[in-house]
Amino acid sequence: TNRSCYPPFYARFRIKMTSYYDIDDILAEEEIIPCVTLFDFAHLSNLDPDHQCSYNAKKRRIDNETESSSSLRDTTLPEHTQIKMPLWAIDQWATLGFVSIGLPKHYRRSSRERIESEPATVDLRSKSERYFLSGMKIIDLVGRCSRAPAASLPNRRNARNPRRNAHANSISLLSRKCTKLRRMLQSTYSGERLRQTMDWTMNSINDDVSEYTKNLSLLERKLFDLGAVSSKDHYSWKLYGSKRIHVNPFRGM
Amino acid sequence: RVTTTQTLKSCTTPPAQSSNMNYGQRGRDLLMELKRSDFIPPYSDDGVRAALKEASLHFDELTDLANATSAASSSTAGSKRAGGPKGPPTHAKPAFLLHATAIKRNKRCLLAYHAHRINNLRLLRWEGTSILPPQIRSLLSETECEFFDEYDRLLSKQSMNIDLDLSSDLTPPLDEDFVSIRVVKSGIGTIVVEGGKTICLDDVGTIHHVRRCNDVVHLIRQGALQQLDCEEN
Repeated sequence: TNRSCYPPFYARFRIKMTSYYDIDDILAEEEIIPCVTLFDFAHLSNLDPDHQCSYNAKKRRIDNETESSSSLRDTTLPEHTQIKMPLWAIDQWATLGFVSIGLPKHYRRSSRERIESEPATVDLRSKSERYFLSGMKIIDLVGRCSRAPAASLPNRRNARNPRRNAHANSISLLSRKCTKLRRMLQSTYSGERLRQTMDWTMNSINDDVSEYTKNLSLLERKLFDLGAVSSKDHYSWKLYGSKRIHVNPFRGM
Repeated sequence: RVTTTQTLKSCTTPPAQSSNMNYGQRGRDLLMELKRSDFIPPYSDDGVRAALKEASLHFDELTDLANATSAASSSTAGSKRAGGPKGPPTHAKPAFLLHATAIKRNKRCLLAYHAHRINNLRLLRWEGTSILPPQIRSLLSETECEFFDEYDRLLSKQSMNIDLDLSSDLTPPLDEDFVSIRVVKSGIGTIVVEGGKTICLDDVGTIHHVRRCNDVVHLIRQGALQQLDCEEN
């Protein structure tokens, strides 16, 4: 898209997208999170990738018969199953303590160390197109989980419930990991890569920098586009002053 | 290793119900279409309808589940449990939540899809195109065409009310183009400035802020109008 002729004052007329309508925000929540169920989930056996049962037959059976707990158990997702779901789907499950979540592979320690050792050249887009946005959302979710009481674990009157303690421990472990992740995200974004982006946008307007930009995640790419547009405008201002009338970028494409 | 797309799609059951339970994939496809296109892609009637259908399927599942669970608890634990203050039993809660969240997700995707297209139409109007070029009109649904016409009408009406063409002249005016004048001699009449507007210069002593044009310059030279500088004001 020929964004370089996008006039800067259009920002004034642009309706501000709140994050509810923001497409990148929505797509950032599609990030797949591995999680483990903490008790039996009824009716959700179809989430288990290895489950072989025929959903149709079971459903028919349940509808026709009078309810008995054994038939319900047939479509149950058992405890401690590992499933992978998008972030938006398990948001409520995690805060209510139904599942315990883990970090996706590209946010774990080995990936973090690899990125920290070589921040300038690592290809973030191949890991996840919205690496920083999804990372921030995951950290936010874990923060909320650690603050919410795990009130919905199955009712056990025993206060020193080992399951509850185990869950609390895993949450605090995850929070510690997320602190490190947050630090890594911040240092990666605002370190070498930012310096390179500034360099490319200010000094190499007419060069082909696609080899560099294909390593960037979406947030960085937006920053790069803004920088490129500003440089171009500055250049055209130097040539023509401010009297030049801009051509409509949408004019029928 | 199974990715989630596979997880969620492979669990969509034997082919008889294969359109069931895509868990927000349709919404996501709509949004990816938006991202891929320059301005806006053609209105995807099928996509929107599929997302709506998926939401209603989730809703049906949810009601089935609710009925099934309340029936189950009433038969096993006596009628006190069914729909009591604790709601459905804990092991059934995740399914309820999942379906409810999927419905909300579909809603959000659909709303964002339409909002994005509408915003681009608004931007298009601000460019000054009062009429939709045919190649854009073919991309829109009927309601979107109606929206554009209504918005155009709104904007034009507002422009006329304040005597200013809002969508032209997007650069701020330079000072050299305008002069402040005070009418000194009487009986000048009306002059026409560029843009076709007439300014009535009959009343002595009135001050106008007008564009510099030939008539105004002549009148100032002849002494019929007095040019005001900022310091005198």
